[in-house]
Amino acid sequence: MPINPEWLFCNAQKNKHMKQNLTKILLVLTLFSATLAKAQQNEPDTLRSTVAQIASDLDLLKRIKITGYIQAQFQYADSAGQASFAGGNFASGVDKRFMIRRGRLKAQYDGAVSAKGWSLSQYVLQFDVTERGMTIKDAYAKLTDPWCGWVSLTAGMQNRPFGFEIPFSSSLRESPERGRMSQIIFPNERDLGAMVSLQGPKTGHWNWIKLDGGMFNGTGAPGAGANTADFDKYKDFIGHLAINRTAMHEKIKYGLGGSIYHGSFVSDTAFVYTPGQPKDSTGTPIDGFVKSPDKNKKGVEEKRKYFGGDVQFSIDWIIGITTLRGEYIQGDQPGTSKTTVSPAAIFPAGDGIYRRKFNGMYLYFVQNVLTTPLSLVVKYDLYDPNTDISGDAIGKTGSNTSANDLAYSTLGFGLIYRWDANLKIVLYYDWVTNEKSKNLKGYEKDLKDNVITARVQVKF
Amino acid sequence: MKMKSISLVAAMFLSVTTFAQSKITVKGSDTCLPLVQKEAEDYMKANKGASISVIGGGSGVGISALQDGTTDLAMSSRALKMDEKLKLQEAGKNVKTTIMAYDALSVIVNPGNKVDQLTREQLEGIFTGKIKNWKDVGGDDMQIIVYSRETSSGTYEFFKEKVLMNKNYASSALMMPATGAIVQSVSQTKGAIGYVGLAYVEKNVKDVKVSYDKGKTFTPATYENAKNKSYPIVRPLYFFYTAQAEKMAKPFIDYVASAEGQRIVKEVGYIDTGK
Repeated sequence: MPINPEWLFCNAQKNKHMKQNLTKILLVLTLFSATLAKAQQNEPDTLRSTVAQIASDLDLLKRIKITGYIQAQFQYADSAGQASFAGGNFASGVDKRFMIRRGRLKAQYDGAVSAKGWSLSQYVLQFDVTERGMTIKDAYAKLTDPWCGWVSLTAGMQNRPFGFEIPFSSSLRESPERGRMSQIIFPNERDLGAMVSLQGPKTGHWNWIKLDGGMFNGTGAPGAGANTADFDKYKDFIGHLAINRTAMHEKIKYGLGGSIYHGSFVSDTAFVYTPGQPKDSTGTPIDGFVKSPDKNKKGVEEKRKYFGGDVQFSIDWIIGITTLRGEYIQGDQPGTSKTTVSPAAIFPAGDGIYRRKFNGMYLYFVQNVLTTPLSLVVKYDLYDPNTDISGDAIGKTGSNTSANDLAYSTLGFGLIYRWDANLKIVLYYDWVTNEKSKNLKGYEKDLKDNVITARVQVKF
Repeated sequence: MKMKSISLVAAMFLSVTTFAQSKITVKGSDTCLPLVQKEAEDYMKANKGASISVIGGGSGVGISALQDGTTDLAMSSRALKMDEKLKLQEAGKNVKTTIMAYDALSVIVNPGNKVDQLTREQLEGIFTGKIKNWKDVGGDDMQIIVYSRETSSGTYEFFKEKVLMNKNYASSALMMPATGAIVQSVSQTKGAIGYVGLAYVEKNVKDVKVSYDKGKTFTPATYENAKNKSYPIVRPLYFFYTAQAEKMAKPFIDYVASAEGQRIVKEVGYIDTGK
């Protein structure tokens, strides 16, 4: 059969097109494969760099910590309008109150970590916000040496490094308030100053021992609306040496500390009263304060000296963790006839300075009930603002003594229930007993100043 | 038709309840990681719908996660510290403890290192930096490169307490974030020495026999020696969990404690809790 040239030509053309199309398809497939291979190779690279970026951003974010707590409470006092160290005085006519005792917000930034594993800097800002106003509690920077990690410098508004109860956080403390003595000699706990600390890094062999020493204004931190700029040239030294160890394979934890406060403030008061034997109306020497003969004692340096020791012990045993804590402080605390509280401002010129020797202590017993969220707490604290005089000698005519020379003891009982990591409920009873004197009107018997506190703490 | 509807509803209900079976998070010890991962895999195969995620990071990381509630189970190669107990108490956590297995801690060196036995005193000297050259302990004239775990590691703590007698690690010691990193580094560095759980010992490293009687007897880290207590560096591996998470986590904990779970313990290279 003859071959049709036209058919041959069409077939050839068809084949040519087919070949061209096949070539195109092969080319596209090759390009696609190459692109796919490159994309697959790029995917891990992209993922790696994305993960690295996220890790870097997360590392920066982890350096910022925002924490805080709110303590809301209801209190019922024995009588209306009483003075109280269970969260401040009750207003006239008031024996029950709701209050926000503390509302803390703290921002902390941890600086870069050294090659040897410790943070070289830390910056802290903490506020207290309640219905009574807003104050600064902490505003400090802490720098740690990069070579051995032993030496830190902390400067700004910070906790005074004295004893155990002062720096111990109010959010962790089992009793609603610090002891009476702590509130009197260290009102508001904080002060402005600079402190050097010596403590080995956490991974080091000597981390269990810590030495703090710093110079402070001595006026303390501001209360709501108050200004506590220093009012004299004298700066106070505070030092604390502490050891903290564990034993028996982490069944026992114990700590010991010793503290010193060496400070002074200027006084422009008219007279100085020193412990001695003034004479009563009959000329008989009695215990009390002897008034200085000279008037206008302007610019006198009044010394504040405290020495203290603290001890803590915790044991994890069959009935749960038992904790015992104690602290004793004694020293010289100049005050006036109206107050023994450490001054935040110069004393009024019209009054006199009373040079008192004081001592005080507290004891805590805390029992966690097995491993339940329940804890029982018993606390006893004692404060004697004037150890040179006691009982009926206080208030005698001619003694120059007052109610501010009376000793107080407080026995506290409490129940703590930890709902979860954020919520804690505290029920606490303060049984306050004052020293009595038949020569001091209103203090012939024990004052009705016991307080029940029901508190809810939310912490984040 | 009615039966079909009932069956459909029942099937949906079953699938929902199966789907709703709890998801458990386990965090903590790198030493425990291979074991708990294997236990979790086998548990999930046997219990469809169960979901267990296992994350390492170190015993300290796991315990912290237990404190802040971001894990149900913490796995740890050390017991709780007193500070941790107090923090957990403060967080209202009622913590329970169970031992999942035991682990022998093996001292490893590079396979090219001719030293194959060391006394505890020599180990202390090496890891505290007092002994700096292998020739001082019978090896070649070669600098000793010390590898250690980081401070959040229970293995770090245990080695420090048991071998270094609480002395400080050498400041030149290289701190590694994970056990696998120590194995890799020791395998690649001729003068290196490190410590890892027995389950992590591979063919690319050599484990060293240890003497706790000043060189009278040297014992290798093996299952048998750990079981008969002739190998001295053995520690329990723990699960810590809160009472709140117990209901969810207990089935898995019980599985690990069962005969099947303990068979897996042995298989992975740890020491079972049985007699």
